[in-house]
Amino acid sequence: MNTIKNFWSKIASRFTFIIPFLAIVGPGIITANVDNDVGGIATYSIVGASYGYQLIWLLIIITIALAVVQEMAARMGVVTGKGLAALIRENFGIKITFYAMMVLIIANLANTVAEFAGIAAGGEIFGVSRYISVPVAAFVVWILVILGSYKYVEKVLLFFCLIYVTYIISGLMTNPPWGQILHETVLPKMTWDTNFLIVAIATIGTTIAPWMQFFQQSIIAEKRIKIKDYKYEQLDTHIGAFLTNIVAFFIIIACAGTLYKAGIKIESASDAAIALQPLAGKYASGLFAIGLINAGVMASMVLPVSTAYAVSEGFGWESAIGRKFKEAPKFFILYTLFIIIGACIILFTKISLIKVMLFSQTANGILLPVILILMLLLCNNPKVMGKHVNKPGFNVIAWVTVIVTIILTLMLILTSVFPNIFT
Amino acid sequence: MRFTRDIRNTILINFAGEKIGSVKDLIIDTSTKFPKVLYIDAELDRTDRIGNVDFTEPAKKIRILIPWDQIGSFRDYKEKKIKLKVHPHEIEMGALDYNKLLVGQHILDQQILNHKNIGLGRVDDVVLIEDGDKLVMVGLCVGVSGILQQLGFDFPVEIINKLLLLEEIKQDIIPWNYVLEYKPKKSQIKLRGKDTKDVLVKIVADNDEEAKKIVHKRKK
Repeated sequence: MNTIKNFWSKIASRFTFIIPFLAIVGPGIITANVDNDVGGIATYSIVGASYGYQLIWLLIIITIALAVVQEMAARMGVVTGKGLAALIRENFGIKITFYAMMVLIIANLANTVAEFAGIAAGGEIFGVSRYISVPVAAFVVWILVILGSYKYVEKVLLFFCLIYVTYIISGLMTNPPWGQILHETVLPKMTWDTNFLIVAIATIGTTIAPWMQFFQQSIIAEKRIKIKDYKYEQLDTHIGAFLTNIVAFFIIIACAGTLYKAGIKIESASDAAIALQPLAGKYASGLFAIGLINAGVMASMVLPVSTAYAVSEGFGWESAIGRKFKEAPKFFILYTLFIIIGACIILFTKISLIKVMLFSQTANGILLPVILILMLLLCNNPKVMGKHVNKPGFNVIAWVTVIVTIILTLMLILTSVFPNIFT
Repeated sequence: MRFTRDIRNTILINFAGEKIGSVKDLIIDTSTKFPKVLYIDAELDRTDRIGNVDFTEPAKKIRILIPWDQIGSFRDYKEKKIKLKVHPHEIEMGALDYNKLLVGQHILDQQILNHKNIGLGRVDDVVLIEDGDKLVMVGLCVGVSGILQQLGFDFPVEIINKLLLLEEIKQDIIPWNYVLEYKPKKSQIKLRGKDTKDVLVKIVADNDEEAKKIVHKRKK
C-alpha cells in the first residue's frame, strides 16, 4: 500500500514541478535558439565543411559559457524586475549607457540586415524572389509584435524554436558515423593552422552576443517572473543553452558528413543548403533551407525587439511588447524602424553580406567585454541583487568564462580587421 | 540656478584656499516642501581629526557629510571649487536617515513614471536655486537637452546652433512639486501628470531669471 502511495506522490511531485515550469519556460529557450541565427548557422556550416568533426568538442565549452552568462542575466531579471540597460543606467550613469546603446544599435542593425539576407537566400533556394520573401517576412514579424500580447509573441517564438528540428533531421539524413563523432569529441584531433584557429575563435566568439543578455533579461522583466519561480527560469536557461548547441551539433555533422568529405568549401549557410542537395538529397537540402529561413525570421523579430527594449530602458521610456502603441510609442517606433531599415538594405542595395557580418561581429566584440564586466559587477552588488549575488564558487567560473570570452572576442575582432595577424 | 553637475566632483578647499578633498554628492531633506540641500557628501584626501574625533594615524580618502551651512563660498562653482567656512577640525558631521536622499544615488538616472506607471524618461540632472544662504532643489532635468548636457555635448551643439542661427537650446524641467512619490529602492519617481508635456517647463540654462518659471509653475 505504501509503495503505491509513494509511487503516486512521486508522480504528483513531478507534476507540481512540470506545470509551473511550463508557465515559466520561454525566455531562456527562445534567446538561446535565436543565437543560432543566419550568422550562427553559417559559422557552424563552415566549421563542418572545413574541418569535419574536429571542432565538435568546442560545443561543450560553448554550452557551459552560454549557460553561465545567460543565467546571470536571467537572475538579474528575476531579482530586480528590470532589464539590463535599466540597471546599467541606474548604476553606472548616462555616459556608459549612451555609448553602449549606440554600439548596440549599430551591431544589432547590421545583424538584422544579415537575418533578412538569410531569408532572401533561403527563399531563393525555393525559387521565391527576395522581393516577395523579405517584405512578407518583415510584415509578419512586425505585425506580430505590434498587435500581439507578450504571451502570444512568446508562443509564436517557441513554435519557431521547434522548427530548428529540421537541422536535426537534416543531420540524421546524412547517416552520421557516430563512433567517429564520439571519438573526435572525446579525443579531438587538432590541426593547428591559422584557419583552424580563426574558425575555432569565430565559433566561440559568435555564440555569446550582447543582444542576448539584454533580450533575455528584458523579457523576464516583462513576464514578471518571481524569485520563488527562479529555479524554473534557471532550468529554462540551461535547457536553452543545451538545445541550441544540439542544433549546432547537427548542423556541423550535416556539413561534415557531406561537404567536408566531398571537399566542398562554402562561405554561407545558403551555400551549404545548395551544396547539400546532390550529396544528401533534396529533402536534407530543403530542410536545411527551411531552417535558415526560420532562423532569419525569428532573429529578424528578436534583434529589433532586443534593441528597442535596451534603448527604451536606458532612456527610461516605456518598453513592453504587451503595451499598446500609444503607451510605448518610442519602443514600437524603434522596433519598426529597425525592420524597415534592415529589409530595405537587403532589397535596395548591393551590400556585401560578408562585410555586414564582419562589421556586426566587430561591433559586438567591442561591446561584449563592457557588457560582461558590467553584468558581473551588477551580479556582485548586494544593493542590486540582495542575497542573490554570485556565490564565490560561481564567481570563479563566471570570471573565467567572461575573461576567456573577452580574449576570444578580441582575437576575433583582430582576425576580422587584420586577416593575416596569426599567420 | 545650479545643476548637480556643477557641484559633484568639484574640489573642496579650506579657508586658506588649499585643496582638502572633493564633493561626491549632495544630500537633500525631503521632509520639507521644497527639498533643501542639508549636507555635501565629501571625500577628504587626508585628515587627522574630524570634530572631536582624533585619528591615531591620518585617515585617507574618508567620506563625511558636511552641513551646508559650513560651506563658506559657493561662488567659485564655475571653477569647480567649493570653499569650507570652518577648519576641518570644526566640521560637525551629519548622518543619514529615511527622510534624506542622496541626489546622485537616489534621484539622478532614476526612471520617471506617470500616474499610470508608464515610463516617460529618466532624470538627467536636478535644478537647484539659491534661497538666501540655502540651496533648494526645484526641478528635474529631462529630455534630449539634459542628455546632451550630461554627455558634454551641449557646448558643440550650442556653437552649431549659433552658426546656423537656430534658437538657443532650452532645458526641459519638471518642477519638483509635480512629483507624486519617489521610490529610491525601485529607482522610480512618479509624477502627478499623464505626460511630461503636461508638466514641463522650458528654460535657458545659466539664467537665474529663467528659474523663476519653475517656481512660478510650482506655485500654480
